[in-house]
Amino acid sequence: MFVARGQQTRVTLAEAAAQTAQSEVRTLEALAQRVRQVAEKAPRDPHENKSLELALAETVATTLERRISDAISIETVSVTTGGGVTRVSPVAEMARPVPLSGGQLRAVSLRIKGTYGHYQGLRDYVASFLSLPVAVTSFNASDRSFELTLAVFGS
Amino acid sequence: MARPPFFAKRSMPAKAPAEVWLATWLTSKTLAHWRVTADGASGMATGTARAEAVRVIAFHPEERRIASTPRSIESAKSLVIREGLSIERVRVVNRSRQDGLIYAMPVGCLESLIDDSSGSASYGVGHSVGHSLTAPDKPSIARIAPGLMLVDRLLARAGAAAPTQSGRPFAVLIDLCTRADQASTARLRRERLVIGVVLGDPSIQPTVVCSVTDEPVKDVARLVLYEQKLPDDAPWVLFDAADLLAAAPEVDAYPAEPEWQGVATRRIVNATLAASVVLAVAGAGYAFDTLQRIRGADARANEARERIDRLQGEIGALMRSRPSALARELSLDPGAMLDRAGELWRAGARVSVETRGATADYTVSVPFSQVRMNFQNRPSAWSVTERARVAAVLAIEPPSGCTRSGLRATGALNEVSLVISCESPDSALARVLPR
Repeated sequence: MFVARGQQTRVTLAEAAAQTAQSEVRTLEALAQRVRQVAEKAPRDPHENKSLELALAETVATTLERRISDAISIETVSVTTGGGVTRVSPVAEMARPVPLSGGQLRAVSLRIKGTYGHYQGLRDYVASFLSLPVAVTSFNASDRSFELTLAVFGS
Repeated sequence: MARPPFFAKRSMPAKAPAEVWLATWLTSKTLAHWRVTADGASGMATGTARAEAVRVIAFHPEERRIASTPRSIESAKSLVIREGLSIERVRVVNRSRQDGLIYAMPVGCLESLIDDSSGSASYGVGHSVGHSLTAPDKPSIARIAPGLMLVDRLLARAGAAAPTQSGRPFAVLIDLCTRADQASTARLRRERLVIGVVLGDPSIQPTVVCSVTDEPVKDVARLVLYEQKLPDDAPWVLFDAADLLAAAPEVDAYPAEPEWQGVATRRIVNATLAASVVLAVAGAGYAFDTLQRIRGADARANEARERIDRLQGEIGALMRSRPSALARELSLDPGAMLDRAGELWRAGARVSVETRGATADYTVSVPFSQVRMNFQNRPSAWSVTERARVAAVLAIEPPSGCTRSGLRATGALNEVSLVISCESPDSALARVLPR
């Protein structure tokens, strides 16, 4: 009786593991299909295979360059991944591997807090990041202040 | 010589077998086999009995009969031992339910009759010539039946003619003419086999006397009564070969082998072995089936894991080749949010936007001044204006795909607000965002 129950448990566990793996396959197939569609529609990317360090440097430069023309005042720029690093650290320590990329892509989360002079300036300032391998993951604006969180991608 | 006060001779209606085999323990301390037909008893050699007998009714001094209420076979065996009727294991013919009687024979005595390997059978009374009834060329061994049961069946068939109800001891005589067989080991020079059984008080075991004699039957009866210290005038009843043949089919046989609750232990062992084999085969089949299912599940899991590795490699390569496109796909659209905030803005109001994952909350607030409203306790131009602003905010309809909260106010009632929540379509790629 106990042996049969143990055997049944082994069968149940093995079948559950197989079903979990097959479910993950279905999810990844849908994701791969979506990524293929995005890649097919996109033109040749000047940031292809760009290192994360370089992408981060370009993003920070853009953050600072556009503030005058867009009437933006930056209060803080900080990295939020890696526990909010305050000392000098390698970028690799701040980075997180992008899930499901097989370790081929990494990302750093960047938070920008500041104030804006006018509505159009803020709009142009945010739009300036869209030419970079950067995704806006959160956006708050209230009165004259704003807070922006960016995910910077790179190899 | 006075006639016995009770004498009966009754012919039984015959649907009898052609022959019946008997085994008798003679007064000469020898065991003899007999084939009884309607013509009488023929003494038979051991070899012949082995070869031909299937069932043998035995008259043996060690056989016991005991009255009992209905009980099981095992209980009947226990009763025989408990009553001190035997000091060794017995086998029984349990007629307690039908006749209120149990017949018992020690296993050793039965085996001495059944088992050929026992050689000369000794019944514990000294020398004897043994004739066991195992026949190598027969498919089964002979079954031994209780002679006392034959006597009871004869009396039952005699009915009212039998002195069973008198309460006095009496004798039963079975008188069989003999015909000598040249091959017989018994000494059969005389003309009559007489089996005498003295019955009476149920607390006293029946006494069996078997003799081959040429004396008249009444003298034999007197001898039997005398040997049992019964008076000459005790009743006796006589039966012959035809009676014996008629009553013999009603006599049950002792089990030929050890049994438990009426079932031969050999059958129980065989059934147990068969069940064990079936269980073992079923268990092996179940284990094999389980192993196959586990292997099948493992194979599916391994195949899925290989597929996962390939898909992750493909997705990673695509992401690395198009990082900007991927980022745009994942990104919120602050421009669209600012446009929507502009649509929700009303004169005198403030609009703020805050994202929670894929949801953007737009808060539209209007200052509400009690001082202006209560100027000289009369409506002022300001209060009219603010009322119009609040009404405009309250009239905001949520855009398609958005929901609107109820009106909110601060505790000091210096500002009222409402929240419009708009949810972005969930992107399949949201899973790749770093956390």
